[in-house]
Amino acid sequence: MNNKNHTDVDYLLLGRYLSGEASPAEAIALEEWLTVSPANKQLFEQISNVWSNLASEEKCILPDKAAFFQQIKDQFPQRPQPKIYPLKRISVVTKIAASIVLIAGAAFLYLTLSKKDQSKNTIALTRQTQQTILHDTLPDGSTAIINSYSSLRYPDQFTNNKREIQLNGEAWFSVMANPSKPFIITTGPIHIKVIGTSFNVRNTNETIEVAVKTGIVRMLNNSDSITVQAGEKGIYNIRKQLFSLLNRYNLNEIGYATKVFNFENATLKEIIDQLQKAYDIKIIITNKHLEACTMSSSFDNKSIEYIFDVLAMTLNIEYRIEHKTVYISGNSCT
Amino acid sequence: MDLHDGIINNDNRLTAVVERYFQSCFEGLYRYAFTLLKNNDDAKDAVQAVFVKLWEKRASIDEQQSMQSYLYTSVFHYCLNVKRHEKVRTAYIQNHQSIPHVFNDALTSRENVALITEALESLPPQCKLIFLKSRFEKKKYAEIAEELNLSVKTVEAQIGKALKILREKLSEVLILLVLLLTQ
Repeated sequence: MNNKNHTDVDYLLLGRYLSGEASPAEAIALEEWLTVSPANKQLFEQISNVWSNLASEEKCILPDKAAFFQQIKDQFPQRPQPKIYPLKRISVVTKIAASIVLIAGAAFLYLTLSKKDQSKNTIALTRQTQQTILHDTLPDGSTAIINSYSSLRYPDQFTNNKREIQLNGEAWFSVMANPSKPFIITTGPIHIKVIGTSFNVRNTNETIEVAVKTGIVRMLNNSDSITVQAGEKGIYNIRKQLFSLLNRYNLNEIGYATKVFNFENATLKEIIDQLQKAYDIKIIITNKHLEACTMSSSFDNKSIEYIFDVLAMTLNIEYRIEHKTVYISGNSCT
Repeated sequence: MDLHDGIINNDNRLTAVVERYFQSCFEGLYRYAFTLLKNNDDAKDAVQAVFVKLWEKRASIDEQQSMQSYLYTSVFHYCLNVKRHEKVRTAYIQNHQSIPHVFNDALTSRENVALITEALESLPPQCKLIFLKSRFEKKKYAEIAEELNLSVKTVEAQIGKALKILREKLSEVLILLVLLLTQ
C-alpha cells in the first residue's frame, strides 16, 4: 500500500461518515479530502468495501450520471417560463406560399385520416362497474381505476394519432407518455386532453372535476379551456359552462385509486368510508359510539392490516379481519 | 422582444447552472445520502428531490453563495425526514429479525472471511463491542453511548480506531476485495 499520500487519514471522520452520522459540513470535508489525492480515494473505497461487506447491507452504487440527470430533468415541473417567439417580417410571397402549403397539408391529413378511420375496424369496449372498483389496462398500456357505478368506453386498439376514450362517473388515470398520440377523455360536454400524467376525473352530472397528481392536463369545451397542473384541480360547471381552478385539493378524494390518505382530525366513520372503497372491504363497527372518534394520520399505499394496526393503537380499539370483512370493537376511544 | 429574449436566455443559463452543480456535486451528494439512508433507491430519490427543488428555485440562485453547502444541507434534511417516517413504520412492524449473517457477498472468498473475522476478533474488547453494535445492530452513536454509559465522543473514537486497525490488518485482503468487487 502506498501510504505517503494519506498519512493524515481522519478515521474519526471516516467512521462518522460511514455510520451515517456525518453532518453536511463533515460530508463536504470528506469529499474534499477525497479529491486531494487518488490514494485517498482508493483508501476510502477499500474501507467502504469492508464496511458494506461486514453486514448484510446494500452497497452504494452510483447511478449512471447522464441517465440519472436526464431522469431528474424529466421531473422538472413543466411550467416553462413564458416563451415568446418574435414575429419576423415575412414577405407577402412567403405568406401566400405558406398558406398554400398549410391548406394542402390540412387537406391531405384530413383525407388520409378519415380514410384510416373507415379502413380500420376497431371494436368498442365498455367497462362498467357496480359497487366494486375495477382496475383496467388500456390498449396503450395506460391504466385506469374505475370507481363504483362508473363506466369507461374505448376501442380495443388506438389506431389514429389520438387515444380517445369516454367516461361516465369517476376514474383515475395513469397515462403512458406519448407526445405524438394525445390521450383524450370525453366526459359529458367536455374533453380532457393529456400527454402522459396521472389524474382523476369525476363527472357528477353537475360538475366535472379533474384532480391532477403528476404532469399537466388540459380541459376543453367548445369555446373555452383551462390548464390544470400537478397538485391542482380543475372544475367545470356543466350548467353554467364555466371552468374554474383550485390550487390544491384533498388527496383523500382520490384515495380509492391511489391508496394515499391523509386524515386530519377525521372521524372513524369518515376514515372507514374511504377505506371500504379503496380496499374493497366491508367494515362493521359493533359499537356505534366509536364512529365519532377522531384521529389524524397519513397512509401511503399501506396494507389494510397496517392501517388497522395504527387505528387500533391510536383509538384503543380492537379489530379482526374475516375474509373481506373487518369487525371493529371497543368501548370508547379515550 | 429583447426583454423576452433576455428572459429565455437567462432561463437557459440558469438551467445550465443547475446542471453544472449536478455535474460537480452529484457523486458526493449521492454517497452522503446513501450513508444516511443505506439504500440506493432512497439515495437516488433524495438527490433527485434536492435537484428538482433547486431547479424550481433557479431564478433565485445566488451564484456567489456556497451552493455546495446548501445542497448537502438539503440532502441531510431530506434524509432525516425519510428516516423519521421510517421509524414510525418500523415501530409497527417490530419483527425482531435474527442477527444478520455477517458476510453475504458471494465474491468474498472463504479465506477472506476468515481473515476479516480474525481481524475483527483482534480488536480490543470495548472497541470491538462498539464497532459491532454500530455495524450489526445498526445503532446510532447516541444509542450506543447511552447503552454503554459512555460519551458519544468515546463511541466515535472507538469506531475510528476499529476502522484504523481493520485497515492495517486487512490491507492485503482489501486490495483483493477491491479487485474482486470492482470487476
